[in-house]
Amino acid sequence: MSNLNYFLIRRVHSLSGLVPLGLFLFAHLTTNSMAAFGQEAFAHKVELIHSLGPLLPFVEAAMIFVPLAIHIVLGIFIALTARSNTTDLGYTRNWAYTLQRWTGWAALAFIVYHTMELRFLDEANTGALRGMMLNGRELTAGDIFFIHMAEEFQSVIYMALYVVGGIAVIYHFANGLCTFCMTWGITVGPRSQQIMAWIAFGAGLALFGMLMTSIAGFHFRHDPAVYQQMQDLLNNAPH
Amino acid sequence: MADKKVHLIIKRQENPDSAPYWEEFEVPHTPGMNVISALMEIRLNPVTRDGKHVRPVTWDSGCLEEVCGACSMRINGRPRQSCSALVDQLEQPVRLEPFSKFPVLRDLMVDRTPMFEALKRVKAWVPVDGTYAMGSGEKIDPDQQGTMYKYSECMTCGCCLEACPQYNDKSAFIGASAIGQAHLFNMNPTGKNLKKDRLDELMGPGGVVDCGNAQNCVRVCPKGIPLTDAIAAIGGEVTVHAVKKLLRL
Repeated sequence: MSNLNYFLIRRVHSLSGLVPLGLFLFAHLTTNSMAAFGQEAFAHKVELIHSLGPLLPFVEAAMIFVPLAIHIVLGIFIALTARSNTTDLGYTRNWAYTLQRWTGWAALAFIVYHTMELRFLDEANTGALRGMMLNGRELTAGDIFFIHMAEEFQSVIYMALYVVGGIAVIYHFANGLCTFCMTWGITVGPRSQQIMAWIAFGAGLALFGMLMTSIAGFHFRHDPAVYQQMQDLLNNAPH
Repeated sequence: MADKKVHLIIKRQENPDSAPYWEEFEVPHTPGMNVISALMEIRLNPVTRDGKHVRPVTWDSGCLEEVCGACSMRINGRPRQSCSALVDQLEQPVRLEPFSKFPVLRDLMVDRTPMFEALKRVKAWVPVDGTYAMGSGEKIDPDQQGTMYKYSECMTCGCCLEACPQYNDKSAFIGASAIGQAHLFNMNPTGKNLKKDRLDELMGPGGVVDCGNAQNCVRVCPKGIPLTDAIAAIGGEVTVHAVKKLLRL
């Protein structure tokens, strides 16, 4: 491989983590945080996304799936070249380096599960409900997701899985923000790198707050009766 | 004081191809002694802690004042110079191991040839050889001299590479020292004639992009060289260099 190609591949990995994946993480958790304001607020936000209509799959592919796949494949190659040595050298950044790789693996497992469960399997199973009436409201994708997620988030194991998976993704992004600035030569000296670390910590904390708001929102805004009604609708729906 | 002892655990290896093993020694303590003087005590009386007569321990050293880089080893897990490692400041037993990232020649002595090969790869020199006198070089601003001086202190000891989780048998990463030296010679008014070659080399596999930003290099460097500054600076320069290359394709 030519030097220039190798360089570009590594930089694509670095950049894709920030744009679009980092941006998507913010957008995704912003949407999910709306769960704290109830089904309607959440559904409204989801409708904004779905208003892209036939463009949605293309936007999803360009902004999420393709960059994510690239980031994952290159990331696996990078992670496999590491020999962690935190036992002898327990410096903060050395731990940050090791954790970046561990959270990379954890985030990969979580994202694969999360995407398979919600984007593909569930979407296929509940698609039939769209447009049906429930409690005087026409069900949109957002409504169906809200009712479904609220039920799922009653399980402590499910909540724990999302807290752990979410933290892995958020740490990977926040530390990635610091290393991005080092890699691209934006923060060159130790002082600017320290300041960037605090900024990234703040961003991570904000994302963590949004993660917890989302989970708590789904958990506490659950209405078992509504879930049962939706199940009945689904069972009677033509498949 | 006379019966104060120093307990050492040393990783030993007969030759480059044989298996390593551990041996324990106990040597008399002398005030202000360093790891090298403890090793010299073993050489005087090469008897292990349990009374077995063994072959004296081999190690590498030169200047004994932390400027040559030869006496590098892992001391209690930390890569450093054994000449400047004072026994009184070390936790006992003192565990001595050869560097794990370089071929072991015998006991604590390793072959640091890969480091010098890396310096050749990045052309870490000022190109002044020719068939005629080229005259004196451009003057360097004192501030710049100060920055450059720090990098010029590199003694190719290998501590930065030993500490680096990204410098290993699974990775082609060239390591911090060569990147620091590339940065130094890029700053030199005559040396910068080779800047493009250096950036080309550092752009490819094993180059600056393979750095994982663990920053152990800067933490263990005995000379306090701002290696991570060099890595970030070169990272930025390589980016500009690559964009220029792309636009000229």
